[in-house]
Amino acid sequence: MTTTMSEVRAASRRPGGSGRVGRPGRRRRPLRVRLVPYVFLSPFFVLFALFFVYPVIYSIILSFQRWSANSVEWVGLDNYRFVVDQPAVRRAFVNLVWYGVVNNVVQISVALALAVLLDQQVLRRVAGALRVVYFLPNVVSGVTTALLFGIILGAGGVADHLLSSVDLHVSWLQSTQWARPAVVAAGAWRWIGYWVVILTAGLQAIPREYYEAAAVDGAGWWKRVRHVSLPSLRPILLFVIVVNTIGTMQIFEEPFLLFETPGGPLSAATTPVLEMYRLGFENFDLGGAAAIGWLLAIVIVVLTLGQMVLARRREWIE
Amino acid sequence: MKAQRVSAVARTGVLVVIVVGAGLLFAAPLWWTFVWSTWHTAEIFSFPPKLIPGPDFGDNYAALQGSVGISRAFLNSVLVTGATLTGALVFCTLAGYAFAKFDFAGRSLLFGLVMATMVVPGQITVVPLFVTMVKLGWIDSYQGLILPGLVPALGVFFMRMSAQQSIPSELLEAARIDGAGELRIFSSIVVPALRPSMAALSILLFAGTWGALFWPVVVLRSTEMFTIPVALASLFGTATQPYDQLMVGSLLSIIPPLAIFFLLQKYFVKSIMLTGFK
Repeated sequence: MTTTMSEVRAASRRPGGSGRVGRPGRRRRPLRVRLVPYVFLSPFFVLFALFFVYPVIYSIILSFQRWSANSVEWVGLDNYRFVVDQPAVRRAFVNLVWYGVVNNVVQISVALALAVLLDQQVLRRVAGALRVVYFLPNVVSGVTTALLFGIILGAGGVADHLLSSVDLHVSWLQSTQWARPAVVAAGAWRWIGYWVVILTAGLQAIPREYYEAAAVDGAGWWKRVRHVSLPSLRPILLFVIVVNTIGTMQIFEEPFLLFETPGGPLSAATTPVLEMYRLGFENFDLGGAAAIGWLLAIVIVVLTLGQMVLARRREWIE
Repeated sequence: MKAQRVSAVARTGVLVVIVVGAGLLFAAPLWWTFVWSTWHTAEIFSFPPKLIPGPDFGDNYAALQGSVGISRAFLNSVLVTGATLTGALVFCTLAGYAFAKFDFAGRSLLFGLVMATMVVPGQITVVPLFVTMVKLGWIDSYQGLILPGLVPALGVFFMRMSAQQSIPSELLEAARIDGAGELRIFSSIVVPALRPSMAALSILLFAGTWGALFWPVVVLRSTEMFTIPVALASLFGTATQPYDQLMVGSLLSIIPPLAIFFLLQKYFVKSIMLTGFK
């Protein structure tokens, strides 16, 4: 074993020899050995081609077709024109912007505040347990979250009773005005703890000496948070916002199940994924559903690339 | 000096009130899921809200069993989640290891393909997958439900990164020189080294599979095939909206992920950081 190990080390010192199989400059291995990576890749790629790559390509084709009982017709951009003219679909894309902004503001600011507060030295003994409690809602599925908030925010539910006792009357689930905030409330309960865990990992990576140095310079608590914690957290905050925004684009269960009718009163809280479901699987307009899917995909891809560029530019400036 | 100490105590007090209050807000709906599963719908909407369990869990469970066959739905969820996780872990680990530790023609092309699809939202595959399943006659079948979930691109990306970080190439070379076969190397070196990453990946995939609604609700038709989320969604869609039954189903759907969380807690942060690659 010792000799083989030293042979290996000698081999890896040879120029071009990184220890990987099949590098140029090494003796060519028999076919049986060169096939090994393909054999390892094949189960994944066979299924990946059938159940991901092919459907993605097929969905582009579908979005330019109209399906009826016994024929398939090419219709150019008709499906896109049709869905863009649907009031519910327009509402869904407007809501997407609204959810994107409000979800981020609500979830990330609360999560950031809680993460920073839990990071205080005086709380170090209980912080771990509290973080677990904050995180627990995240193990609950979207369906159950929607059902729970249907009771909590529903007529005669806890929120209704509590607000009525101070003479506030909010019909969360029956008014067009409060439908979207109800979806945001449900999402906030499920996701804030998740962001707290990520932000905490970021906070714990900040060397304690930074805080000590700031304290020596006479910085109070707020100044230490403002000038030490927040700047160090910036990359991880950006990461959290990106993940949260992309997740928000795909909201489905909450608006589907929170209200008596999917999407809420007059579809006030609807989302593109929900409209895609309704069009495709309730009205069986597969081409229209595929078109909504691609409109959403374009939004997501543009957002993802935009946020990447933004992140890079900020690095250049500073 | 004394005033300073008093203000420090006051500040700590405010801090504790905020963080514990937040904890109560997060925990309350979970406790209510349990409490509400033990009362009838009328009591669920009573005021002041019920805070302690009542006598009706048996009634509610029997009603839920009668309306959607919840025990069957639970088994379906276990079966589908188990099969999806097992398959996805095996396929992603094999592929990730191959990408990390072998040089072969087409490597960057294939990996680039996997990476590129990570930007595309999975929902756009649902309509064409539905058409495909209709053609194959796989609507309302386990294979139709499970197969599309077996190939998460994220899993390959993550297992490749883990293999690069935690498997020294020298070890693989040494094993080859000693005459070990490739499958043997995979099972006795690669899998043990990647076990923590596999745990993290399975936690992430578990959450997505166990609670999934969109694809299952599209592909499933008959009550005997329903997973828990589909069963609950179908029951909610009925005119009466029996919240007592829905809370029993919700409680049953929370127990397995909660158990996994407490058993595998140390892998959770790792699995959470992994979502960043989605």
